[in-house]
Amino acid sequence: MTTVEHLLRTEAPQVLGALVRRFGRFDVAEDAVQEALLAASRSWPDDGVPENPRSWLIRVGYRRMVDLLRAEQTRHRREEQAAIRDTASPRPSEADDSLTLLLLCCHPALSTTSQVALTLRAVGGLSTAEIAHAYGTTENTMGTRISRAKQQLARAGARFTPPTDADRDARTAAVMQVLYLIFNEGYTASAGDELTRVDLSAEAIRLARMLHASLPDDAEATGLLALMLLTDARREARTRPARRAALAGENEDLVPLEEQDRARWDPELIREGTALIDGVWHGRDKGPYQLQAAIAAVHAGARKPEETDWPQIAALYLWLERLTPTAPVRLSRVVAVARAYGPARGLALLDDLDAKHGLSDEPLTRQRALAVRAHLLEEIGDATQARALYKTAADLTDNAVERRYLLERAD
Amino acid sequence: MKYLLLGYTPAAAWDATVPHTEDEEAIAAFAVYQQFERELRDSGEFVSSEGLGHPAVSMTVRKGPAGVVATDGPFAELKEVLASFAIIDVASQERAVEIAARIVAALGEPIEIRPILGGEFQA
Repeated sequence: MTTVEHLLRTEAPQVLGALVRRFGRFDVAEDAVQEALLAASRSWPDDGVPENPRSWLIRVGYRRMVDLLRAEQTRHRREEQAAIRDTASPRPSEADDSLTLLLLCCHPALSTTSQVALTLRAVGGLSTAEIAHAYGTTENTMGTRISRAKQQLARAGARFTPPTDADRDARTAAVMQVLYLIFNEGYTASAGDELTRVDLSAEAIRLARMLHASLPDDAEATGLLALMLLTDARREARTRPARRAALAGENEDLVPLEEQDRARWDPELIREGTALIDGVWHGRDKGPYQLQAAIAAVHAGARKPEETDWPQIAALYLWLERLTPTAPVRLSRVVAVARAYGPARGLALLDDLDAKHGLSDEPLTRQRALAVRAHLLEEIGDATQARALYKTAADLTDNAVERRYLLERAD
Repeated sequence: MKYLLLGYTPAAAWDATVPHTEDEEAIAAFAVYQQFERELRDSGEFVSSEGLGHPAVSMTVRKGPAGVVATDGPFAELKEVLASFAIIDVASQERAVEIAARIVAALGEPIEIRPILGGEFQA
């Protein structure tokens, strides 16, 4: 990202907040800010960054807003009745526009895909084209999705005001979920052209930093940022050039955590992520992001795979399973228990959870459950059954990199 | 006695203002006005002055059959729209006209002078 791009993305929510607070009409203001950002990205690299970039953007955005409203008025000649608006909403003296905007973009009236798109555009300052590219869709489709989301917000009577304490927790939880989705999309890169796509993980981290700065006392917001940093620290070591003749377009192999070259983990990200999670760990309320960050921190703390504190990880997964009893978490606990107390204990737990919760039937975990079982069977010496299960698991995945990994294990 | 000076501007000219290029002539004219405003502050005649947002971003609150509602607009097409106002506290209407004349000479756009009624008129 260039300096100008970075500056524009940082300023985007502040500029949007200033316009919406002053003039209302989030939908129009959001379009106006996009155009102001575009104008800046065209002129600043040549003409230089103005002395006060934010007021430049606010001025241009305001003018664009007037143009858009005028165009809308000539189109409609309407005096459409608006709902009664808050004339003076009580605001803290240090208004935090980025948080209010995040909460607005992740409004419960919107679908998760709309929340993601609107957050990236209105808070992240990304263009429709960039977002479309990142999600492997056309600019038209993404543009329609964003304007529909804004119409839905207007219909739902969503306001640019901080939510009341009563639903604030639920609303911030939605924001965290959206940011985590964006992060994971960037991390697993399910779609889009590798060379030109926006780095969604970096974008999610930037927004998570913003959220953490807005809610410094929120342990889960801290946990989310820590989790992202500790996960991102392993990015370089997570893939390696394919050893097999690769399928067209696929030239990377997935490297499992224990086989990763730990020298390629980013020590700076690990240091920052670990410090963040350590800083909130004494608190009473542990949420899923803190627990996942803690697990990532334990992994990061082991210089060699065999130094990993698996009993601690197994305990953290048990805790996490109580809060979020999902199939992927249960499966991860099986792996941790097997590492901590041996493959036989792992297999016993897998049998038990399979019987109670059907991990091998759940679409989300079916393939991974098979792979885990295959691996544990291999460890207790049942090679024949392990090979058969690896092959079945390979048939179940659409991801070429993962399939190649599983087939290699079957060999 | 206090007067409200209402500064009008042609709507078309306001619409045509280019957002991010500075018009040197306008800046020079505004500098002349600011100098004059300082004089009025020194003489104690200045009370306050503000520039307004474009009418496109204005709203109207009125009482309707269903209660009080706020609407976007008004969207009436006007040749000249209110762009700024100032309140001055001067000895006479003559002086108010003199001040308005100097502002008009500097900025070039018409000003409406409305007396602000003090207590003596409202009793």
